[in-house]
Amino acid sequence: MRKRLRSALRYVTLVIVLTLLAVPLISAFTQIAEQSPRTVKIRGQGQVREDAISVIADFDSALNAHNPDAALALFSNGAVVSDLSNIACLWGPPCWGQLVFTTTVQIRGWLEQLVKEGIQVKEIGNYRVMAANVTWDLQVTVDEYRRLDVAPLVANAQAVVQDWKIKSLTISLDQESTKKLALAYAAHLQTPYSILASGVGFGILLLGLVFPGAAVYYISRVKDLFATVPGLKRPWILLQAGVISLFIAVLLVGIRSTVRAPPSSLGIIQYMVVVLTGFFFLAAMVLMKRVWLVAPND
Amino acid sequence: MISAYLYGVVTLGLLILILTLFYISRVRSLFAAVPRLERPWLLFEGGVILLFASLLVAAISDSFGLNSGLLGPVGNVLLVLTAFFILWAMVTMKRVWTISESD
Repeated sequence: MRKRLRSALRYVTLVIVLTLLAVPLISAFTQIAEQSPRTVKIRGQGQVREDAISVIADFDSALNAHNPDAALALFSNGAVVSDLSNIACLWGPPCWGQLVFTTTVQIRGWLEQLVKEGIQVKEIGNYRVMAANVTWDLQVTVDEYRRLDVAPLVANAQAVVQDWKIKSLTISLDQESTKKLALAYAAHLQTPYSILASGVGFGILLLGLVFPGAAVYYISRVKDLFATVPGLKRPWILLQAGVISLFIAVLLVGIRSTVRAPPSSLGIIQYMVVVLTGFFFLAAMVLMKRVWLVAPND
Repeated sequence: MISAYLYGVVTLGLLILILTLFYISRVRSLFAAVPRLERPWLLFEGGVILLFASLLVAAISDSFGLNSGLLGPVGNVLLVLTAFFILWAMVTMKRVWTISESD
């Protein structure tokens, strides 16, 4: 009886000791697992879901922190980004026609552009996960939206997340936001030129077309008179080219005010024309001075 | 937002116009002796200064996104004034030239 009791006590003591040893070990393992869930080898459907959402949340945090490097680190090699509403680059030549970014350099450029635009994103609603696909809705704010007074706009996003990396990301404004943005652009373009459309501004624009037009006509008339003066024809033709450029520049102002094109698309052409005007004037003046200094001596 | 292309074009334009202004100011003294020539040359200078100002205003308004404000129309008015000055300069220049030819 005593022997049995001793044996039972030994057994109980052993169980207690083992339990005492096991508790901290289990706890330690649990903590490790919690601290680095990426080390979890076996993942069920629920785990995959959590991983994908976590990656997307990290991506959004990196964007909000304006850290393009951290955001880029979340993309896998060969990732594809489709910014279908051109959120990153609303206008400007580098983004003409480019809404899809396929290389690391392009994706970095896209992210840096978003940061330049002071992006802020906020998830609204729930993440919807289907295997590796995550879709979610978010509020997007960039400087352009702030300037147009439409921020934030709602966008739909879809991503494929595999092995803790984003394989593809597609983002576009929803229908209502797209409409809101288009209306804001229209209003924005109308604001500076509404004066042009009615009254004084229109008169100024008309004068701007009449002056170079008259100058071109004048040059073509005077050109014949100066045909006998040696060396004068060339600078006069250059002046004519300069004035024609000026006419085109003013014409572009009118076109920009009426056509709903992004300011920079026509703007860059207008700048080029103005630059050409400056060049023609400079060339004409250099030649004219030469002729002028030679002519009196002759 | 101003792109690299736009920045390049505007810089080039401003450089050319600065060069033109420098050229005019240098040449003006050479023409001091020629009667009636100073006026069209001054008008030309005025035109080029206005062209410079209009390009500068356009660049500022686009780069700071101020196109919706006052700067856009101001740039356009400057461009129109440029055309006026150049036309005026040419008319007076032609007059001076034909007079000097007949003299």
